[in-house]
Amino acid sequence: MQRFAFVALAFAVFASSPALAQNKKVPFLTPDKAIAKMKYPEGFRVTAFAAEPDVVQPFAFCFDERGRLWVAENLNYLTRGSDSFKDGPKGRIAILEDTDGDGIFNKRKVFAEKIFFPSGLAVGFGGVYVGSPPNLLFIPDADRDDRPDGEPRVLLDGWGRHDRHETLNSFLWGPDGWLYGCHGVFTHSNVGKPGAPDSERARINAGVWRYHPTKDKFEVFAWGTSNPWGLDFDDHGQAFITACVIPHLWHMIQGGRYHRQGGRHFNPHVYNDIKTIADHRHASAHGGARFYLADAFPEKYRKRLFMCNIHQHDILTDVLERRGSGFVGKHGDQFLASNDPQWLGFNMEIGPEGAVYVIDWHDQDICGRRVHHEETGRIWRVAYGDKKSPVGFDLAKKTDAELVEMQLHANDWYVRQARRLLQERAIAGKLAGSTHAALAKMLDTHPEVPRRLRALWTLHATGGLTDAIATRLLDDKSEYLRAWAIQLISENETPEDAILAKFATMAKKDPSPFVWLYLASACQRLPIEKRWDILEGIAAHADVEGDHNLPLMIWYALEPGAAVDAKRALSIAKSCPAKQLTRYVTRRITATALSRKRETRKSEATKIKPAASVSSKGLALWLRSDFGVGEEGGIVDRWLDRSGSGRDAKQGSKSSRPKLVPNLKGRPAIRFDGEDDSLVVAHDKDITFAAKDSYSMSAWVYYEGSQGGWRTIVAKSRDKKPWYGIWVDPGQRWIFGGDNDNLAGPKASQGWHHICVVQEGDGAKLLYVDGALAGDSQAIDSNGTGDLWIGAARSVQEHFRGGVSEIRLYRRALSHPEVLHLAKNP
Amino acid sequence: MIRSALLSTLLLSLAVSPGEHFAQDDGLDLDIIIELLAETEDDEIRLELLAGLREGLAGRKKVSMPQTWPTAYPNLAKSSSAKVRDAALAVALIFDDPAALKTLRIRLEDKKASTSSRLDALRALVGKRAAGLTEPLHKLLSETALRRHALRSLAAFVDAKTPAAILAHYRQFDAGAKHDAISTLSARPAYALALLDAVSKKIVARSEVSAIHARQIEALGNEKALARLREVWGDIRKTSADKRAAIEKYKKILRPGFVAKGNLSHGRELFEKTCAKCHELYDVGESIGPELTGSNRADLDYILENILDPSAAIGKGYRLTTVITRDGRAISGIIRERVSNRIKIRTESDLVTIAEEDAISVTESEKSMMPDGLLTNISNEHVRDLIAYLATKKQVPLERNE
Repeated sequence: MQRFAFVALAFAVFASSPALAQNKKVPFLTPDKAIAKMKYPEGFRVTAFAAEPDVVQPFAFCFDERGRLWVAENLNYLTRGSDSFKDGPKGRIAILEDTDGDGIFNKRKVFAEKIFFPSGLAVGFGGVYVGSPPNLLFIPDADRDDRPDGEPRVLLDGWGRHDRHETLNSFLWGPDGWLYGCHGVFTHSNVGKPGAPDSERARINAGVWRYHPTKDKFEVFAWGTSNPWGLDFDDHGQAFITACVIPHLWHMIQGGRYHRQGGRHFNPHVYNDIKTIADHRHASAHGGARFYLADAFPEKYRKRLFMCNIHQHDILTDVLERRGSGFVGKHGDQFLASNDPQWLGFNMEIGPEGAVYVIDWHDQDICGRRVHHEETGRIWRVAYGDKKSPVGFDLAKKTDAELVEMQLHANDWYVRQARRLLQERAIAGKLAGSTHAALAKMLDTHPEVPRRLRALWTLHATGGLTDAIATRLLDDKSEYLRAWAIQLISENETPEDAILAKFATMAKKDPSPFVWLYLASACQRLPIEKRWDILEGIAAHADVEGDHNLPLMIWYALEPGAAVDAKRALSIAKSCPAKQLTRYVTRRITATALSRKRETRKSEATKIKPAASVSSKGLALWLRSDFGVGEEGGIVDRWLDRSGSGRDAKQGSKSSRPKLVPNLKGRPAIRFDGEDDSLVVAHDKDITFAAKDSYSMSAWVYYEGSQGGWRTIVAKSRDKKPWYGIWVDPGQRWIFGGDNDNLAGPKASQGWHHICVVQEGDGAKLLYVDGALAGDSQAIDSNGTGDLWIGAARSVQEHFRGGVSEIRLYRRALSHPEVLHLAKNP
Repeated sequence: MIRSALLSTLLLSLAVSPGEHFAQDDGLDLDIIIELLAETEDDEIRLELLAGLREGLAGRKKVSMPQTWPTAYPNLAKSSSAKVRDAALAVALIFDDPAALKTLRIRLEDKKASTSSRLDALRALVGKRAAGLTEPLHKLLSETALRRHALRSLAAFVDAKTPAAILAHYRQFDAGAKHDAISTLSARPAYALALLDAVSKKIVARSEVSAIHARQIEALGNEKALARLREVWGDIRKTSADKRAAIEKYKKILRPGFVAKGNLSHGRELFEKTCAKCHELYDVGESIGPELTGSNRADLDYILENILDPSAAIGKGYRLTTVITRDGRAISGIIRERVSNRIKIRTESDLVTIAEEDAISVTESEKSMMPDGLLTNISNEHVRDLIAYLATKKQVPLERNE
């Protein structure tokens, strides 16, 4: 009551006379005095768990399974635009331990020094994961003696250093065993394993990413927002972030594209993005999202989202309510007011005793434009009552059965630690035989959904989620379990057709918009042709209209399809009560039509004269049907590369060999039967191309008529994206294909045709049919590491029936006159 | 019989010269959309289809009419929904339907038609860059309801009479229209010279030319205009020492006691005039630049550095890009979309869509969309009011009897 009056009064004063911060006069409070100025509800107790000089420039923290707090001290931070990289790495990782449980640490160990710019921290899997742009590091400590076993290992690189306070942050073990984190909008990262080409990297400049600790896999989980700092999962495994500048609260759905503070979405066909779920604004930036899933605070705080309010120097709470497929975020309360302009909380953890811990960077500059205090920092602990923290324990010493039992703990801290430990043991092959059965039993029999979800996640993380269990869950009575089963089934390879058929049935019949949402997310991970039935089912539901997420999540999954099969996409949109889907699809079809038919280029094309010759510069592959065809009785087993690069095309399997036809409508040709014939040129990096590279591929093709479906003339790396090549699509159009980017030309007609695809590095992608420009779009990455196939494509087959008399591949962009020369001179 | 024989001869000749076959113009392949337009009776679906076509084709001057369009259009034109009829008309215009052009021209000038349908006509015609449009646009300058749209649209067309037409009415314009007028007059070298003449003759007040306008004139790359700008408005280019000095100067001026005297309502008014074109605060303003509600705006250092040296720390998404068109217009703003050979640029006053082929150059600068020198030609008291308003925690009312 009293506190409330204070807040109201403060606002009244501010509104009438502006309180401009006069920086030099901001008082610097000792921890004791700072606590004395804080206002928070009765019954709570704040302690300085640690403060300078024991903790300085704290940037990230996390607990280990012994209840000890690991802190990353970022002594390389200077300003938003600069760091002290040239002075060498200065960051530190320290372990703080409260050995008597009074809420104040009393043992400090430095685990590692000379770590550059530590920005995120997670303990697990025999070491520590550390954000250290441009790298994600792993510092091994398998023997857990708090001394690194060796040098940090670079797991991922390519993290940008553009805006130093918008870097990889807020590391957290997700329920599914992935390491999750946030990334800000003004830093432009291109993340991959060290040495990986662009094609194996993922760009991110705002959003949530994830990395799998044992599969060594990196993915962007959701795109957009501003400078998200603070990520947590509620007890149904829903990801939420707190963000700066723009509205503060976001429900992050796998594959979602969210409102951006600035810049454009990577995909130009996003057209619209998902907005905040908050129904209110707090007047400042936010960080440190944590759901209170412990049991020490009064009941009303349980499941609330705690967050730091950076500009107001407060801790706030929000309350999440389900609505449709998602949530609405309502204001909970102003939980703690620091009343100290130097208080700068932006990270939170909840401890084993259920207290809330807060990192306070402690500086008068809120936005990190400069560091006024080079050696300050605080970790506050907010506890309820006088309950002591547990001490001297080590969950790693628990048996598997005990850790399984811990999945039912009233404090999620134990649940999460225990899950990670079980995951580690599973990877090491040390999991007790009965563990999976115990988890499966919990999954089947526990009356509460969140507890069953915990069993499911742990089962998945430890490799115990069998197809049988996952499939059965698709019919579970809880929408959360059905939804999670969809996500986990879709995590790796494309599910088998029976499962996809089940997805399609669910899309149609499942009553839960939440399940439809997960199906829409899953679709984005499926090949385009496998998405249709599912999207058709979801889109038809009346409740899609007006839903916060569904119309757009359907659109993101449908968009590449609209470029390939306009008719089907339009029919799905038309049946969708969210009418805007029809507009998006129409717009996408229009974009395709325009790129297919670019008036100016075309009118120019008619004036272009063929070049007198085409230089062999950059010629990397040259196959001609009148040269080097290795055959026996007309059956071709090799086709020699005439370019001198030795890239011969071969077929080892006798039954898959094409035929040499000495005279196919006027010229010799290799004829593929459209059943199982193909020739293969082995992969090498000189015939793969990133978006910045130029290349050209030309083919003389004899088209015999429709076979239905997609048909491959020549395809490089169709099995390992991103690929490139020449296809005929189900509409019988010539296609310059690429990963999710199929540039369509005119309909193929029977007879010989010259097809040439050209990429101008960082510029256009062009498709020429019979010497005429038939379409263009933007250059893309086409540098997968799979082989080059002729007459079929690895993994998808798509066997072509018809003849090929020549294939050329140049490591440069052919000019239009050169293309015309080739088209006129078979 | 004769016809089919002719056709097969044609096909034969095409077969022997394969290069020519695909060069013939068989219209844009939007059959699938147009078939649905022809077939559906659902006005909602029709509207979305037409809206999708308009969004997808916006900014393209020459779009060859799909062969199936003439079969679908008559029914749409007869729809009972005025919205469907208008949208179909706009699409017909994109497809170069001469009847649509005529209808829309008449509607634009028809004072009895509703403002919204006239506005729709204006947008369609400007989007198409229809010829002979400047004269009706000049006439619209005397009509309050369509004035601002006409002013913005005039930037897209070259007409030597435009500056005089705008300046003749300038004094009767409200603040918003004045801003738009100056934006348009800053878009082409000849217009800018006329504008700067008007400033020197005090037809246009110097303070009405914002830093954004000044930089737009600079972007034209015309020596004469730039020299004249320096003469009548001031120097646009600030060195980092200038900026540093300005920050220090304002820090001295903006003492707490002085700021406390600030008129918050007037500060809000200044914000809405100067800042709200790009920034949102308390749900007022545009979202071109970062939203300010959640920013560190109560901190004097922060706010001065951002106003006086906005390019010091700038995100890639806010970099200023200048497009110069073939007909000599400079468009400065943030690229919002660049796909299908079309550029959408968000300027401080408009969302401009142009065909890529119309752009001679597209240059992204290292500088922020937010110009230096925003406080140039603004009095200390006004700066005080603005800064005081920016530090508020809650919205304040605008002064009622202004």
